[in-house]
Amino acid sequence: MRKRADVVGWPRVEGADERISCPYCDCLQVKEPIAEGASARCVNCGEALYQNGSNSLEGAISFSLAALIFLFLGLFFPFLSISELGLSNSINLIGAMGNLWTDGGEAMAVSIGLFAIFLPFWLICSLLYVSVPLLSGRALPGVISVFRGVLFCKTWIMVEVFFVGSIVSLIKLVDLAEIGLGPAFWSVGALMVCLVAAIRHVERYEFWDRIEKALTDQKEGRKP
Amino acid sequence: MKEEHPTGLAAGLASCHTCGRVDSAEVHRCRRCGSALHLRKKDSIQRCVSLLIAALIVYVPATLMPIMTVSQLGAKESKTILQGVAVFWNDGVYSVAIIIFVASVLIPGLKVVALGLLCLVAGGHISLSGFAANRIYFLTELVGRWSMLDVFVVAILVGLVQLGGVLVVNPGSGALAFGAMVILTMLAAHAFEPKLIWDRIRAEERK
Repeated sequence: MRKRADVVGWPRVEGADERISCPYCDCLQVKEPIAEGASARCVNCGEALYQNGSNSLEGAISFSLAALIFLFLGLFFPFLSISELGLSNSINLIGAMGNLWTDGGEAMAVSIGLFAIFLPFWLICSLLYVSVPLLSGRALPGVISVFRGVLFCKTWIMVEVFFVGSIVSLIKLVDLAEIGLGPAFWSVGALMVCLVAAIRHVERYEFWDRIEKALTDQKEGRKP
Repeated sequence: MKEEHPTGLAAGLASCHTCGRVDSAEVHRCRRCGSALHLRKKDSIQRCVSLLIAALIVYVPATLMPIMTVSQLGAKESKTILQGVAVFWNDGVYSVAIIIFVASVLIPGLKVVALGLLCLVAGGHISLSGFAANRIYFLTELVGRWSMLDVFVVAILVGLVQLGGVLVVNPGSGALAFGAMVILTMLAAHAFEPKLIWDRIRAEERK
């Protein structure tokens, strides 16, 4: 791995305002560049302000791609097979949401669709849209709204809760019928891990600085 | 008295909630990302308290009404969240009983109490150390989503368990109320402005 002797931090626009205020206590301080792997804390209240993770773009991209694959596997492969008294049924998540909708659980179908499927999908796509061009110091049109979407999705994604929920429902089902786990169950588990890993690489101060730098460079016609 | 650090408020500088850029409080939109810029979130205590009250109201049907009905070979059985916990506990599956109890009873309850407490601190009715308030707020934001656990459990059971007349699971209205309550408490946590607590502490120290 590459080690830098001097602390340069992530790329940022030269001469930009480097002050930040702590989101907890409003203490005004300078956003000093920090070494890769280090994190900065507020001088007043000690809460974590930002960190400079190593390979943040590469990490975000690779884990997003993996998550995208697991999301598709999780949607279309059978999630669970269930059988009792000779009747058996194997179902995938899309079919399950359809059942929910027809059985009077419209709101629940929407909440699973939103928190466990659509928002993760949206986060993965937007994160790729932002990060891949940033690798070479570029930014695509609309990058600002797309990255704001990433930050929004981050707070509302509930794949991990969904996964634990499916484990709990399996335990409930064991008494009622014979069940078998499908490939989609494991894919959702892997999706959970990859999403958490991808989100861990997204440091908002770093991404906004990189985006600002890419946009300024493009505006001034400088080659990245 | 310990040395006082400069604040954004004193300098008339607002930091963007979305991108963290600091700018004069007279600018209404962040010049980097276009989000609305405020020195402090607008009416945060009022919004937080009203969302909490709404959550408390919805909490009543969420715990009293059944979250699902299981029909096995014609026999129907409706259960509320607490009855569901009791079933696991009596079956000896203590780990799951504890997980569901913590996620659907303890966390929402503590969260409402914690946010209510923070609102009282920010309003100057009780005093609490700023560091403790920070930790409480951090935890409230972190664990909030886990209360959706039981809603997802019901949703998965209803969606996946479809065996003709042999075994069918139907959602109950409790699940809907419960989901609404979780979303309301999450919105309340978002509405709260932790900086107000430190504003209050600094004002006390200056006295």
